[in-house]
Amino acid sequence: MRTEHDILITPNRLHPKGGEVIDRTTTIRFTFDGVEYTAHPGDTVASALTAAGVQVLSRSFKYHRPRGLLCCSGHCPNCLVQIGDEPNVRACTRPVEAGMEVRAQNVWPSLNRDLLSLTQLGSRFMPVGFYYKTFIRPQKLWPLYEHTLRHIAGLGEVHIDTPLGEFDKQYLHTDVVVAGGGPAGIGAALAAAEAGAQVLLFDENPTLGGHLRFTVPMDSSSPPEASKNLPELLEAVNHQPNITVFTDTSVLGWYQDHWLCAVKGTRLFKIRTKSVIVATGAYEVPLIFDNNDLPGVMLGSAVQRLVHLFGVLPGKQVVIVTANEDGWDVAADLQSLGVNVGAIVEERESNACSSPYRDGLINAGVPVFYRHIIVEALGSNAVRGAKITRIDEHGEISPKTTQSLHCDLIVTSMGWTPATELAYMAGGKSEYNEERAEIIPVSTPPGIYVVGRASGTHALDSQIAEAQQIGTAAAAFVGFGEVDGLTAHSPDISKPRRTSERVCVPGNKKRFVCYCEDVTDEDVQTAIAEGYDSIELLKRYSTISMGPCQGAMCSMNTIHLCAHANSSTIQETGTTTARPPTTPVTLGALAGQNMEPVQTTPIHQWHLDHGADMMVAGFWLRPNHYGDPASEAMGVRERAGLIDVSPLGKLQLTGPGVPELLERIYTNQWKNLPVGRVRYGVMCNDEGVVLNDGVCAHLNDETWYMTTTSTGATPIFEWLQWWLQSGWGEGIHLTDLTDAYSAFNLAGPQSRAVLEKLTDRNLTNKAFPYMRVRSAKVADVPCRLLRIGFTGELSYEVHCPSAYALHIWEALMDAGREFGIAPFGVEAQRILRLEKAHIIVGQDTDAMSDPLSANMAWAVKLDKPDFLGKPSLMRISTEGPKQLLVGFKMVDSDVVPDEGLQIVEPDADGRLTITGWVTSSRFSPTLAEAIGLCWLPPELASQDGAPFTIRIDGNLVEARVHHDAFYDPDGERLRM
Amino acid sequence: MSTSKTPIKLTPLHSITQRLGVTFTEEQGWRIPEVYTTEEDEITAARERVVLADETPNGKLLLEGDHAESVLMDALDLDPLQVNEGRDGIYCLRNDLFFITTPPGREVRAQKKLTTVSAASEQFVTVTEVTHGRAEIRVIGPASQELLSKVCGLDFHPAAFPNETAKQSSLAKTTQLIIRRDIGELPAFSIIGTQSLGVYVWDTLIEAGREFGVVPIGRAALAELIKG
Repeated sequence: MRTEHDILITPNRLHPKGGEVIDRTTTIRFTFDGVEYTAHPGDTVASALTAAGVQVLSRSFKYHRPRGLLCCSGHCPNCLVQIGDEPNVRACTRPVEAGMEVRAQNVWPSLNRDLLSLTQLGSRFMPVGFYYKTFIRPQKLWPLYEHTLRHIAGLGEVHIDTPLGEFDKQYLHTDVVVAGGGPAGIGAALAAAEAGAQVLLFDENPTLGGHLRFTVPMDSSSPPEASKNLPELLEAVNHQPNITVFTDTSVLGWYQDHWLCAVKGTRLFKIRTKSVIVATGAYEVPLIFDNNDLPGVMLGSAVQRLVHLFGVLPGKQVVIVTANEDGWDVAADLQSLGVNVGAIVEERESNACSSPYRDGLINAGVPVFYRHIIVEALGSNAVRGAKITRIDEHGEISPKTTQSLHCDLIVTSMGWTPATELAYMAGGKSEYNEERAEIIPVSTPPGIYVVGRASGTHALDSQIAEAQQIGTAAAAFVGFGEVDGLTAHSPDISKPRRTSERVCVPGNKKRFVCYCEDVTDEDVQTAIAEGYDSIELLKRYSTISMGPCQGAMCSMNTIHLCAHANSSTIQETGTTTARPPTTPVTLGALAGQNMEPVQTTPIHQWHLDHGADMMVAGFWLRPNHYGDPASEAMGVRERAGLIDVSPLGKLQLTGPGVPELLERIYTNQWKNLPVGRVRYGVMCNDEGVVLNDGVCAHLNDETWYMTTTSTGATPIFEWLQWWLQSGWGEGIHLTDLTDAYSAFNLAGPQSRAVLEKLTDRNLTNKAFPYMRVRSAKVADVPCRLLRIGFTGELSYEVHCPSAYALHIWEALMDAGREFGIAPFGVEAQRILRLEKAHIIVGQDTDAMSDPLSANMAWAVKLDKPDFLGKPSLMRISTEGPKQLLVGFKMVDSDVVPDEGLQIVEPDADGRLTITGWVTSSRFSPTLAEAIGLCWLPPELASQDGAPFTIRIDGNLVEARVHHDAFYDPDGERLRM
Repeated sequence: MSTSKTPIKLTPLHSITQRLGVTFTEEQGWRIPEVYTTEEDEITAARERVVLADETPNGKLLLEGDHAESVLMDALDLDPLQVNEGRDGIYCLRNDLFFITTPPGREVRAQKKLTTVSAASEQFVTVTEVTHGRAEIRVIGPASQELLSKVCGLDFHPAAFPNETAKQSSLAKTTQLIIRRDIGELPAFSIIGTQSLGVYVWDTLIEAGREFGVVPIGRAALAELIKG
C-alpha cells in the first residue's frame, strides 16, 4: 500500500496492480532542473515526473509554449529533455537512473517561466516560412541574427568537451526480419520460424507485446482473453530457437535488396535479410483544436501506457474526446481504476456507437455528449477545462452550443494512421480507404509484407489470423514451405471505422498541426495560399514532418488539411515520400566505433622505447625524430645512421614480360638493365603527371624488385594490376611484398664498416658498387641489399624478412655502436634529401607536375618507342614547361620560409603577382643555411643565382635560384 | 660474419603479448606466446566465450599462374600436403591464384616442392612465400561469429560460411582473408592480413569482443583445444 508520504511526493501514482513494469520495492532519486524527484526502477523519466505531478516537460521549438506528455511512445517531441551531456532525449522512453540529472532544454531563464515565450506576441510577424524572407539584409548583420536565432530556436546543447561516446555497429544476416513486436509481429515471427526460417524480431519497446502490454482489448471484435494470451505468445517466442529478439531497437530504414538499418542505443545494426514483415503498428492521430498543445491534452494510448505500465494517472478529472470504440475502451479502463471520467465527448451519433461499455458507463453516471466535439483546451500552463460544442446536421460546429467542462486531463482518441514507412521505402503502394478513413498499403514488392495495425487491421483476432498467414508466406518466399500466392494484405474493413475524417476544429487560437516545428493549421493554409499546394512542397516549405516526430504525429492531419484547402481528395493529395530514418538517430550511432586503420612496422615498439616522436604518414606511424633531427642528420653526414624505411612499397614482378612492362610504366629505359643492377625510375599517368618514383632492382632473369613511395605502395600495386588485367599482363606475375620485407637504410661514411661486421658479402666499392643489388646473409638472416642513396651518403638499404626485423635492426645498431651509429627519423631524412635536392613525389610535385618540369628530364627518354604519358611529355618538350622546379637559397640564411608560401613579383606600383611557390624548405645543418625547392617561371628558374622574393608574414624576403644539389653535387660520397 | 644472437622470428603482435606478461615458447624459429594466464582458464574461455590466438607463424604461400591448379595437383600427387592439426589448407582466391597455409616451418618444403613441379611442368607458375608479410589471428569460441559480426559484413553462419572455406572481405576497414577453421565443435576463424595492420586488427577485435569476455590464449591452450 502507498503511504501518506508516497502520496505526498508522487500524488499521481496509482495503487499497485498487475502488468506494471516498475519495481515498487526500490526507490531511486534523480533531479529535473535541479529539483529532486523519486522514481522506481522501470520508470521512464516522464512517468516518474508525471507521478510527481509535473506536467510541463519542455518548451516548444518556435513559440516556447509549455508542452507536456502527448503520445508517451517516443514519437512526438513534447518531452525532449537534456540528460547530462546528451540532448534531445525523449523522457517518455528513457528509463530513469539513480542520480540522473535531467534538464529542460531551449528555455530561458527557466522551464516554468520561459521569457522566450514572449515570441508568441510577435507570432503574426512570424508566419510559416518567415525565415526564408527575413534576416537577409543587411548582410553584415547575419552573424548577429545567427547568434540570436541559435539561442532562441533549436533544441538541446552539445558541448564541445563532451567525451566521445562508445558507439559500435553489428552486421546481421537472416531469412526474415519482423519489424514490430506487437501481437501481429509476434504471430508472424512465430509462423515464419515454425516453417523453418531464421527470424530477427525487432521492437522499439523494452519488451515485446505492443499494445497488449497496456490495453485491455474489450471491444466486441477482440476475444476477452486476448491479453491473457500475451504471456503465452512471449513464452512461444522464448522457446522458438529460430527467433532472435531485439528489444529497444528501432528499424530506421529499408534499402535496396532488403538491406535494413536498425539502432539500439549506441549500436547500429546493418541487416541483410531475404524478406521483411512490417508490423510496426499505427500512430494515434491527434486532434487539431484551440490550444491542443496544452499540457494535459493526451492521446488515449498514452494515458493507457502511463496507467498500466507505470501505475501513473496524469489527471484526476478526465474528459474523453473520441470518435471510435477505442475512446470508450479508455473510458471504461480508467473508470475501472476509480478515475473520475467527467465526460465522454463523442463525435458520432449515439446509434453509431457500438461499444460494449456504453451502457455501463452511462449507468455509472458518466455524462456522454453525442455529436459533440472539443473546440478548446482551457488553461495557461496546464489543462483546467475543456470547451465543447455541438456538431450540426451539416457537420459544422455550432458556436452557440459551446459549453465548458471542468477537467485537468483531456484524452483524445480520434483514430489511427498505419506506421508503414518501411513498406513505402521498399516501394509499397498505398491508397486511401474510405471505409476506414486510413491510408493503407495495397501492394508491396516481393518479399515485403505488412501485417496488423500497419495494414489497417485493428481487431486482435484478425491481427493474429493475418499474422499466421503472413508469417507462413514470408517463410515460403525465402524457401521454407509453400503457400498459395499472397499478394497483398486483407484490410479488415468489416470492422467498425476507427478513424475520424475530422482532423481539425476551427477556432480563434493557435491550433497545432506540427508539434515539432510549431506549425499551425493557419500556417498550412498560408503556405497553400502562397502556392505550396502539393503535399511535397508543403512539407518542404512548412517543415511539417521534418522534425523529431518524422511525421508520426502530423503527416495524416496535414494531408487532410491540404486536401481540404485544395478541394481535392485524400487519394489525389497523396503522401510524402518515406525516407530513412524513421526515428531520429544520433550521428555517433551512424558513425559507429572509431576504426581508423593504423599500420606499424615490426620495430614500432623499439622506436617508442627509444623516445621516438611518431608521425602519421598515410596509414603508417613512423618515427619523425628521436629528439634532435638536425643532430640525427649530422650523424649520417659524419658517421652512420639507421632509418626504418619499412613502409616503402615493395613489389615483386616475375616473368618474361616484365621488362616490356617496365618500359611502358617508367619514363626511362629498362630492357638494358643487367641482372644485379638497380635503377631509379619515374612513373607518369596518361597526362604525363608524375605518379610515383622509386628504384627497381633486377634480381635474376625473370624477377624484378620494385620499390615505391610509402603511401604509393597500395595505389601503385592496384594501378599495375589494372594494367596487367588490361592487356599488359602476358607473362607477368605481380606480388605485393611490402609487408613481407622490412627495410632499413644504413647511411653514412661508416655504413660499410658497420655492415661488414654482419655479413660475409664483399662490400667493397668494386664488388658492390653504387646502384647495385646483392643477396647476402646479414646477422645470419638472408637479406636483399640495395646500394642506393636518398640521403646523399654511402648507404645500404637492407631488406629482410619482416619477422626478423627486430633482430636485424638491433644487430645493425650493435655493430654500429663503435662507429657512433644513431637512429634517424623522417625529419632528418627530409633534411638530408633536400641537401641533395632530391624531390618527394606529392610534396614537391602535385597533380599538374610532369617530370620535365620537375627537373627530372634526365629520367625521361622520349626516344623510347612508347610509355605512359609520352604524348603529353612530347608536347611539353616541344612547347616548353610553364613552371620549373628548382632549388633556392635564402639571402638571409637564418630565415626558413614555410612550405607552401607564395613567390611574388612586385610591379612598379608595388602590386604583387604570384609567380611560384615553395614546396620544401629546411635549415641545412650541414651547410648552415636555409635551403629549399620551389616552382618558378622558366625564365627565372633557368638563371642560377637569379633573385626572387617570397612573401613571409606579409614581408617580401629575398632568395636566389640554386642549380644542382646543395650538397655533394657530383655525388662522390654516394660512390665512395 | 654474424652476430652472437640467434635470429629469432617475432610476430607483429609480439610487443602486445610481451606487455601482457606472457610466457613464451619457440617453434620453428618463432617466438610465440605459450600461456597468458593459465592453460585451463584459456581453454575454458575458448569453450565458453571467445578467444584470440596469434597464429602468424603458420606458413603461407601464394601460387599464381594459369596452370597453378595443375601444378598444385601434380605436387599433391607427388607429396600430398598432409593435413596436420587442421592448419594445412589450400584456398582458391582466383582461378589463377591459390593461397596455401602450412604448419610453421613446413612452408619451406612446400615451396620447394611446388617450385620443382612448376619448373618441370614448364608452365609459367610462380610460388611466393608470404609468411612474413601476413599476420594471422584465430578467433575461436561460441561467440566468435557474433564478435566478427561487429567488424565484418560477412555472414558467419555455418550455412553461409562452411568450415574450411575462405573469403576475402573488409574487416574493420582493412582487407583480410578469412578462413573458417573450426576446432571440433568450436567455431573458429583465421583472420589473415598484412602484418603491419596486425596490431590494429588485434586491438580492434579485443575492443569488439570485450562484451563477450574475449581473452588471448597461448600455444599450449590452442594445442589442447585442437587435440580435443
